[in-house]
Amino acid sequence: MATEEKIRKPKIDPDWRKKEESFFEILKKYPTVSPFIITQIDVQRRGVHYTDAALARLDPAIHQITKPHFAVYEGRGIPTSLLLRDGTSIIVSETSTQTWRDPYLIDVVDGKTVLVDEDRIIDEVEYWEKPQFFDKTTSRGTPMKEVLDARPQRYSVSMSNYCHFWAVPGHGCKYCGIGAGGVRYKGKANERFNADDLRETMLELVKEKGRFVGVILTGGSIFSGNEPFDDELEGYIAALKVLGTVFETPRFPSQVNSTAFNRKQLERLYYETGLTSYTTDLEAFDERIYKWLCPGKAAYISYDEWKRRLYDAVEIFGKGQVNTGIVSGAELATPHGFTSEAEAIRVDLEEAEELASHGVGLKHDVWNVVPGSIFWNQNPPSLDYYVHITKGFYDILQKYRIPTYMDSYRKCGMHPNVNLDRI
Amino acid sequence: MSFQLSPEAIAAFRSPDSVKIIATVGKDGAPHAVPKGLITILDDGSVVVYELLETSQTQKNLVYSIWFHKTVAVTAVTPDHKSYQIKGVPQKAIIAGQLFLDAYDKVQKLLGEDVDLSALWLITPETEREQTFSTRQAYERAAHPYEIHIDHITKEEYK
Repeated sequence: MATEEKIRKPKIDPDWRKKEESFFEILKKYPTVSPFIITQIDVQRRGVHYTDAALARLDPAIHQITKPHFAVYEGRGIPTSLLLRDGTSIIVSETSTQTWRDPYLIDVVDGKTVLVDEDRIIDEVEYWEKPQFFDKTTSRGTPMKEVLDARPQRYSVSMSNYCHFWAVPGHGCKYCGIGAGGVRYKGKANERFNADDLRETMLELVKEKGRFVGVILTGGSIFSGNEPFDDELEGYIAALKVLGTVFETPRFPSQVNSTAFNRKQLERLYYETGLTSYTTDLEAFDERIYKWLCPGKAAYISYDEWKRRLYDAVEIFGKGQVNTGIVSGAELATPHGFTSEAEAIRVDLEEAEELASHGVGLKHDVWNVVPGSIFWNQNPPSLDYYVHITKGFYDILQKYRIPTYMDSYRKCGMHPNVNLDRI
Repeated sequence: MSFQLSPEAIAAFRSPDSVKIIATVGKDGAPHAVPKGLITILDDGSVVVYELLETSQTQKNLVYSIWFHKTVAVTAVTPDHKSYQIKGVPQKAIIAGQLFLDAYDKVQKLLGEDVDLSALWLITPETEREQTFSTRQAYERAAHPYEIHIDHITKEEYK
């Protein structure tokens, strides 16, 4: 097995393994939770590093490639992400996770690309393959891969690269590494999606039979308009109308992940487009933490109002077609987060139950501590915390019989508790 | 692959004229056996199951099996009533990439463009048994000669 001397070391705690239960101890502790999902969580939590042998397997003609932040790769591209044997995606490299823990290694052993920790093979992995339209450009000269992004079975539209919350000092979401860098798009031609580029790219995408099962549209918050966020809403409606032109059915598998729209805006979104599902993320399931993590959101929409809008969305889109998520782990950030994982879990699950009792689906992202975010130097919680939250959300969704297909391993892949709902 | 399937079993599973059945178990422990049109054997000996429905019970059970290392069984019955059963553990669900796209194309050519493909399941065989009745009867009678009703061994003049 190759040793890798060039692992990025922002600030790894040499004793971190002594302070928490290991991956294998957690597997035994949660025998009803899929080992594949626990693997996904831990790799997303700790990140990965690719050996030279692993990178040699990357074929630009076949695979999706991302340029990483880390100088250790000397300008080389790395796999955009990974697939496990059961079809679970590990969404890991696009945000270049940094933690105080050692990352996993992706290496080549006996001819197989494998996930390795402390010289022990965890499982075989594959790199994502890119769609054919990635190599094409629109008539305006825009690379189509900049118009629509792709995961193994879904495509996505980045609606707005510039999140308005970041225009106000202190209003950006503290865990977000996207919004922080988005200000550079303000006023540029690529600040928002282009309808002509989208139409042309969509026409190429649908030629690839068997490649995609759904789309997600998301982007930074836009608080301008007659009512706050009306301009953001108009963007979604326009884009959905473009996408809808290629389908013979009035509705098509789709999800908008936006700022929390009010009832009137939600009704327009549903009735004027072919949209099938809606997400608006509370980001934290506690009002105090919400105000601290997301001061921009809180300045425009109170915590209780955000929840009320979710309940409205369930009435409009239907149970199982609306969900909300948290950046799990960020509620434990210092200095104002919860001081114990047990308290965070208790509060998260209590609020999750409240939301689910109103028909709202639940999901959580594993907090990626990313360069460029305000929280860049923090450390996510233990694997035990994450598996507890995963199982807790899953159990609540089962209790309230809330379907999860809208955000499944095929249509997203990011959310461990949803990925667990395949059996 | 360490376990070698018999040429007869391979031929039975590869024949389009055979009836093929997959039996799985899910998280509730209930068995689920259904006919599947598209089950075959690859050159490396893996069983490949084309699961056409993402939301089917078989799909859920195959996921359960790969997650928790549970055994599934596939059976092929030939037109002359010979049958072969293979048991194994799902090794991989191919849900994307060129292999999947090729399989998707194959399914639509075989079954029509209205048919979808959810996953291509690769199952590593661990055991094989011929289940043809005459073969099983001969085997069981040799192995357990006294586990039959006595009329089978009663002299003809006393029946």
